[in-house]
Amino acid sequence: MSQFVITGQRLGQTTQFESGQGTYIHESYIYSSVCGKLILEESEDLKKKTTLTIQSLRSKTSIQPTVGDLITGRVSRIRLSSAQIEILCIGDLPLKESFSGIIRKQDVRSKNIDRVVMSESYQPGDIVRAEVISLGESRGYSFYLTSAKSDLGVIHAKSKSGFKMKANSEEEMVCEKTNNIEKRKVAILN
Amino acid sequence: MEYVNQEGLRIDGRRVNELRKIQCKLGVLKRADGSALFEQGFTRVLVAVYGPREITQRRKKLHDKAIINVEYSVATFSMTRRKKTSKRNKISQEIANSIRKSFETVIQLELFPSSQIDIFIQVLQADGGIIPACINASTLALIDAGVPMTDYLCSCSCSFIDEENLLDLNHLEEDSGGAIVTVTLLPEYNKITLLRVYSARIKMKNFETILKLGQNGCQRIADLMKSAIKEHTINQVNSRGIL
Repeated sequence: MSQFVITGQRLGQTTQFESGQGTYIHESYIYSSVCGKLILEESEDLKKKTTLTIQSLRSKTSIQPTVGDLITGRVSRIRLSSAQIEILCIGDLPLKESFSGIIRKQDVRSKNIDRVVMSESYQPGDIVRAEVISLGESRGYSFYLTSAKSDLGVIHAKSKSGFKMKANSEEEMVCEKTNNIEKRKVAILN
Repeated sequence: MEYVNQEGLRIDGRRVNELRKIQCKLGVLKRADGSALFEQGFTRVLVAVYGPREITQRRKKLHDKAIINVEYSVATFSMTRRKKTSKRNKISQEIANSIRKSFETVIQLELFPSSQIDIFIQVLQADGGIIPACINASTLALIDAGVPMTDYLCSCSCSFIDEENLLDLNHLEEDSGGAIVTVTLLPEYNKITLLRVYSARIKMKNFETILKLGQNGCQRIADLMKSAIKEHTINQVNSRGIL
C-alpha cells in the first residue's frame, strides 16, 4: 500500500534516511515539499541509507533545457543573422509550455559558416532538431542552439505551395506534390 | 455599536476566539497550473498560480533562482459599494509586495533558476480579513500547482475591541477603529513571517496576548487547510487510478 503525503509532512530522520527529490531537510528531520506518492529507494550499497523521494501528482516537472540537451522546436522567425526557435520538446519529453531559443548564423552548420544564408537554411514553420550550447542573456531568448552536426537541422518542412517536403540531401528538400526544390539545412537521420 | 455583547457574542453570533466558517476548494480553474477558492465567512478569494515557467520580465531574471510575481486585484463588486480599484495603485502594489516577500521564504526558489512563478489574486467578496484570506488561498493554489514549499503560510486577523481580544474580524469589526493585527505563520515551525498592525495603535500590554491568539488561530486554519489538501489529493489519486 503506497503512502501519499502532503506538503510539510515529517517523513523521517536524517540518521535513517537520505533526502531525495521532493523533500528537504530541517534540523535533522526530512520533510516533504510537494504533495505526492512517497517512494523509498533502497540503496544497493548496504552501508548507504534509503532515499526518500516524492513523486509529485502534477505531471509538469521543473524540467528546463540544459547545455547538451537535444531539443525539437519550431522556427518562429528568421533574420539575416539568426533564426528564432520555439522549443517544444526536450529529448522525448513534450513540454507543456515552450521556451525560446536562437540559432545564430555561425551555428547553423559546420562548413563555410561565414557564407551561410539564413533563408536557405531555415524558413518559418520548419520543425528542427538542435542542441543547446549555452544559456541566453536577458534579451528575447533563453537558450543558444546549434545545428552544426549532420543529425541536426530541419526534420520536417512545408514547401511554399504548402505541401510536405522530403529530404533530398543535406542541403535540399523536395516538395512531394510540385517537385520543387527548396534549400534547407537538413538533418540526416539514420 | 456593541461589538461584543453581555453574553460574549459578537455581531455575527460568534464567540471572541471563534473563527468564521472556512471552505477550501482546490483545482477550480482548469487552465491554470494551480488554483484555489478560499472562503472565510463571507470573504471569498480566488487565486491562480502559473509556473514555474520561462521568465517574461527579463530585467528581473535571476540566474540562480526563480522570481515570484504577485498580482493583487479586487473585484468592483466585492464590497458593499461598487468601487473600481486599479491593480497598479500604491496600496495594491504594497499588498502584492508583502505577499510576495512572505512566499519567498517558503517556496524553494533555488530549484528553478531563471524562471518565474505567477500568483494572480482576485478578491471576489470582501468582508474583512482580505489579506489573510489571500495568503491562505495562495498557499492552497501553490500546493495545487505542485510548487515545492518548505511549509504552509497561514494567516488570520485579530484585534482588541471593547476590552476583548477578537479573532478573525469581519469588515464591521475592522471598521470599528481598533488596531488590526494580521499574523502570517509557518505552522510547522510556529514562526511568524509577516506581521501587520494598522488602523490604530495597540498597547504593549495587550500585544502579546493578541499575538498568541492570532498564532493559535493560524494553527487552526492550518489544520483545516491540511485536511482540505488531503481530501483533494485523495480525489486526484482516485480519479487517476494511481495506487
